[in-house]
Amino acid sequence: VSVLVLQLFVSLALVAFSIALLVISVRQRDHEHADRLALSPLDEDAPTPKDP
Amino acid sequence: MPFAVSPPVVTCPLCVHCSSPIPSGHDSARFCCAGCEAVHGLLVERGLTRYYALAGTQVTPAAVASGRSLVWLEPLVEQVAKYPGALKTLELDVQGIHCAACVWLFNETFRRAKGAAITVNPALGRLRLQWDPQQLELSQWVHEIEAFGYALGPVSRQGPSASTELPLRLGICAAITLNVMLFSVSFYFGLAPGEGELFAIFSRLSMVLSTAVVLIGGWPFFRGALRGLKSGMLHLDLPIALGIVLVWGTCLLHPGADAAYFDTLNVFITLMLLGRWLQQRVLQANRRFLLDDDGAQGLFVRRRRGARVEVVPAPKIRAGDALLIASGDLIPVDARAAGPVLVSTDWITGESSPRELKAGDLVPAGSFNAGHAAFTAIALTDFAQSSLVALLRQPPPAATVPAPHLKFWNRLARRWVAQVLLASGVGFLLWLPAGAARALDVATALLVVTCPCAIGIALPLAYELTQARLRRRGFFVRSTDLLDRLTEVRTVVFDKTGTLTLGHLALAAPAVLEQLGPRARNALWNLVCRSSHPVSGCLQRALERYAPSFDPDAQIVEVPGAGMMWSTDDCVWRLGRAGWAIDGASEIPHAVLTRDREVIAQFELREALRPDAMTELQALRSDGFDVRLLSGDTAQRVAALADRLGLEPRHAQGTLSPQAKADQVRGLGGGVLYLGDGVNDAPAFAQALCAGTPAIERPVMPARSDFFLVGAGLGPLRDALSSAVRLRRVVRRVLALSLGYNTVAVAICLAGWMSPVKAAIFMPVSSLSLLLITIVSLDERARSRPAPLPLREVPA
Repeated sequence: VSVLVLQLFVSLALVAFSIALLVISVRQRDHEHADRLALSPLDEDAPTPKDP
Repeated sequence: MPFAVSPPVVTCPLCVHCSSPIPSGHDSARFCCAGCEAVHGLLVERGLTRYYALAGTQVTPAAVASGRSLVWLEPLVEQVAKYPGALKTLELDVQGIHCAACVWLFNETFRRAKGAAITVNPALGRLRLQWDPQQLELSQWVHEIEAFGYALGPVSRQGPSASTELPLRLGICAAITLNVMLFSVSFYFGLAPGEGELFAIFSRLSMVLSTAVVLIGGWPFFRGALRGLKSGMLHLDLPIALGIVLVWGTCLLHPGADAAYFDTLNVFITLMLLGRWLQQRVLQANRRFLLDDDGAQGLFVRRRRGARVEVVPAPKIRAGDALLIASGDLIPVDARAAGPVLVSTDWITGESSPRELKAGDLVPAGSFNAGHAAFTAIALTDFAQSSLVALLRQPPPAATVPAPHLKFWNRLARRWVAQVLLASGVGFLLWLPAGAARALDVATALLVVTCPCAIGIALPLAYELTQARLRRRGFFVRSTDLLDRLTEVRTVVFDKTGTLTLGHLALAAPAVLEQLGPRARNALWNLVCRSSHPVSGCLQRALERYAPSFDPDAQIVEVPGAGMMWSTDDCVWRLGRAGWAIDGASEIPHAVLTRDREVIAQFELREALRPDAMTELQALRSDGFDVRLLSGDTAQRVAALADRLGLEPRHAQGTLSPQAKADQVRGLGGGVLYLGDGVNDAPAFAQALCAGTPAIERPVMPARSDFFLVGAGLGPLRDALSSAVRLRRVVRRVLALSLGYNTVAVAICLAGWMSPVKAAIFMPVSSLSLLLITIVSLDERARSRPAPLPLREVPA
């Protein structure tokens, strides 16, 4: 039971942490494109023209 | 029934830019439209072809570069320039961003333009720019990025501030719900009270977390219900709030009886929040399509500078400017009348009779010159302080009558809650003999399972989606019930000049102005400066280089449908239709300038048809509409145009006075849609079932305008007609499904076969299903439309 209690504590701590991150993201108004921000900046690759 | 004929399915090569099918017969074998060709050329020229690799198949057809005015940008840049520091920061709204490739394009072009930093928020459609004015001229970059088909504008005044509450609540509830569901798994797999401490921990945790979800996620529903009760109304959230409280109470009272209740309570609340958030997101996204100008950028005003008159965009007006307001012109800012004037504010106040104002009286922004003569007014404020943009956003006074679907919804909403509470009470009483707990279950299930959200959310969403799509295509709805009225349209009547044609006229023989004497030129200048008719606008532009003198005291009268008249001490000048300006009938097909009825000059004018006028009129006829052309222009020119457009001669009439046009529209019976652009069309507007104008820059009759068209094409009109029919079909489907669901669900509950747990699942599922059905029904067909045709002007 003690191991389960520890696991519960860790999982709830993670939930609290994720909620805190969400609150920060929502306040900064970037919650809807946070994934893109995480990937930026994009590297400049060689151009790949679509024009045949 | 219109729309019996489906648009032909196009099987042809794909556009290099957007991969849409290229219409057969199109000039280009590689591009579907001029916009795509232009944008592809820009991407290749500037080495930005990585855009295609990032976009994949998500490229949409590009809009033709609009050359929008950037006068809105100047004051914003001036304002941020006052702040200290080398780097300036500005937020702008943008429309047209649809994928990561667009974001990359913004980043890349801004980086190349030596901008310091850019943050693109595609969900909000917002840019945050940082730049050094020494390194980057911001307007140049905005011009450059708009050439790719995007539209930038000032940050929406409404702001997204209300949008953060629901996503935050939803995020918290979703996180907690997932954990409660994990705990519930242990109950499903046999964790029982006999397990002792573990069961107690899991039960208490479930209860605490569920209570948090009830408080955080249930609050929007509790708040709605409480506000309704405080104001003496039964809010639609009341049954949902009661249902949440009842299920929660059951869980608290019997924590060990059925722990799965916690699970479903959490899922129920989270799904309800998700539905709300989806709706809010769609509505907010729709609001952003319009950006912030509402046509004010296209509004031009005559400004007097000494003896000269210049035409300037309305946002350039400053306090103290002397404005020359022609008959039918809109007053863009609060102004002081320089003499007696007659103005109307009917599109703002609904007051139909014009008001006479004395010299020195305040002429409010948004009123228009209802007299037949131009007048001068002194601007009291800059355009930035004008309330005109806010006024243009308002629906016309006639639109305050609720649309039929709104009336239906209001009636239903008033009775819904009471009936649900009644049904719940009946269910409780019916099942009371079987025990209080069983009766409570039935009552709770009845409260939760009935789903007004389907109608309350799905129907408004369907209207919003349709209006948003039409806005994107250049059709701006002003009357709330227009989409309902459009389904009754059987006849489409067009005015000619400025409606079927672009209204940008050109003199066929400019030398005619060289041959005029200085006095005649001055007279002509004074006449055209006081009229907003396209012919006057064309002559005014052509005369500017002669620097003719302006007489501010000239008493000039505009005769609607005929022309302008100036009685001087020794003669009378007239500019207009030959039949009016010359004594007696005349065969001259052009506008003429006469002095005491003697022809001084004839002005042969060339006009450009709207790019898609021919194809759109043909398409309207093949869709089953009766298409007519009514014009005040000469019968000869109208007949020639009708012949080009393939209209039957009896369906095209010229030399019509404004009243004659109105009589013709009335004679066509109900179901007439009228598209016109000038003050001459006002009586016809009043007679039509619905009316609109493609001349957003000349909103002389917004009181009667149910819609505006922006852009060069007429295509959005047909889109609107077909969208209205499609919308009606979707609305009927949604109503039928909702009615069926609620009837069956209530019957099952009363029969005792529905537990609150099942009800809590069925209700949000039905709500979201109807929402999805609505979105998919409207979206599916929009995607199947053929690619937009190229837009090019063709000579009339």
